Amino acid sequence: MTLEELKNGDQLNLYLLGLLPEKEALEVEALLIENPELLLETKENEEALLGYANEFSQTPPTSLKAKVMGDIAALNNEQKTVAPSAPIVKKQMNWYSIAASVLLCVSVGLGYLVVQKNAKIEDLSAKIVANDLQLASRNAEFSSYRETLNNLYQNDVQQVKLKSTDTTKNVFATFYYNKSKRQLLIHQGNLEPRTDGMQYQVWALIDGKPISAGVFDAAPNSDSLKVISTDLNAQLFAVSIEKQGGAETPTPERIILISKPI
Amino acid sequence: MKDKIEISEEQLVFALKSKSTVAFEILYDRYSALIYGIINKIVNNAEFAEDATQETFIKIYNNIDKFDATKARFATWLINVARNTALDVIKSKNYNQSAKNQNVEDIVNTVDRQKQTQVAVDTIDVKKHVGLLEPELQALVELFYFKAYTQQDIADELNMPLGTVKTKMRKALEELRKHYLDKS
Repeated sequence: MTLEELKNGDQLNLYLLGLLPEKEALEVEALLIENPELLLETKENEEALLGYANEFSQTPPTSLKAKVMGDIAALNNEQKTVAPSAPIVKKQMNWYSIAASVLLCVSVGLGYLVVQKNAKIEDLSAKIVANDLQLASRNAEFSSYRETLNNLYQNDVQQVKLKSTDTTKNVFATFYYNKSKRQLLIHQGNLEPRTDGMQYQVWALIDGKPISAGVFDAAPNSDSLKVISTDLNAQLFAVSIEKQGGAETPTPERIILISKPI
Repeated sequence: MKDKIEISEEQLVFALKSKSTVAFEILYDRYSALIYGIINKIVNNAEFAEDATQETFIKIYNNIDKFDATKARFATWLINVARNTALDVIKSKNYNQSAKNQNVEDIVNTVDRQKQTQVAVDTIDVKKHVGLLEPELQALVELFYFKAYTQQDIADELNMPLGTVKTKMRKALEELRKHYLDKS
C-alpha cells in the first residue's frame, strides 16, 4: 500500500471504523507513523466523528440496564469469577424475603426491626460496591505505574528534560524517547490540566523544521506516561499550547517548554 | 454511592479487563446512550436496537482485552463494536421480515443495497442536525459512518461519480473537523 493509495482509497476510512483486517491495519499504522500530518488529520477525523456520533446519543429504555447487568453477571458466573457485589445482593434479597415472611407471621411490630436490618444490609452492600470500585481504581493505578517502570527500564530509552521558555516560571516536563519502538513517552511534570479547551502539543525539530508529534492533555497529579507513536529523529523537542486537536505549525508565543539539543 | 467515586477512562478500561461487575455498570451508565443512539440510528427500530445494545455489551465483555488505547479512543472502539452489531442485525432474516412491515421511508433506511440501487438523498434521515452539514454531505457521512459503505458503494447508492464522492467526503470531514474541533 502506498501513501497515495492510502489517501485516496477506502483503507483509512475502514481503519477508522475498525473494519480492516489486522495485516492491513498494521500497514496503515506504519504509513501513518511515517506521515505525521496524515496521522494528525486521521486523529482529528476520529475526534470529529466522535463528536458527530455523540449527537445521536439517546437514553435507552430503563429496563435495559437490568438485562445487560444480568448478562454480565451470568458471563462472570460462567467464568467462575463471580463479582463480589452480586452474591451480596442475592443474599440480601433472600434474607429479606425469608425474614419478612417469618416476621409477618409473628408480629407486625417486629417488622420495624426487619426494615432497620435491611437498611443496614443495603448500606453495607453499597459500601462493598464502593470498595470494589476503589480497588479497581487502585489496581489500574498500580498497573499504570508498573507499565511506566517497564517503559523506563528499557535500555534504548533516552531521557529528555524540557524546561520553561519563560525563565521566571518553574514549569517542566520530561520525555522518554524510545527510538527502537518509535515512541515518545511523556511525563507531564508539573504541567497543569487545561480548563480552557486548549491542549498541549508536542513538536519535534527535524532538519530545522518543527513537526507535530501529537497532542496530549495533562491530568491532575498524574504520574503515568502518555505514549505518542511517531517517527522521530529529532534534534530537540518543544511543547506549545494549541487549540483542541493541535495546530499545523507551532504558535511562537505559545511555546512554553523546550529541550536542549539532543 | 458509585457515582461519587471518580474513575478515569484508563482506570475504567483496566477494571473492565478484570471483568469487574461494577466497572461494567459504570460503562453502562457512561456509554449506553451513545451505544443505543448509534444502534438505533442504524436499525431504526427500538425493539431491535434494544436487543442489539444488549448484544453489544456482551461483545464488549468478551472482547475488551483486544482494545488497545494506543490505537484508538475508547469511545471509537465502543462505537465500532456497536456499529458492527447493528449491521449484523440489519442483515438478519428477522429484521428483514420485520422491515417488510414498515413504511417505504423506513425500508429505505434499513437498506437492501442489492435491491435498492438508487436511494435519493432526501430519504436518508436528515431531520437531525440540519445546518451542520449540507443534506448531501450528511447523507454521504451517514452511509460511510453508520452503514460502513465503501466510497464505491456510496457512489453506486447516490448515483454519483467516484471522484465526486471522494471530494465530497473530504469536504464533509473538513466541515465536521471545523465544527467539532474548531479547525479550518
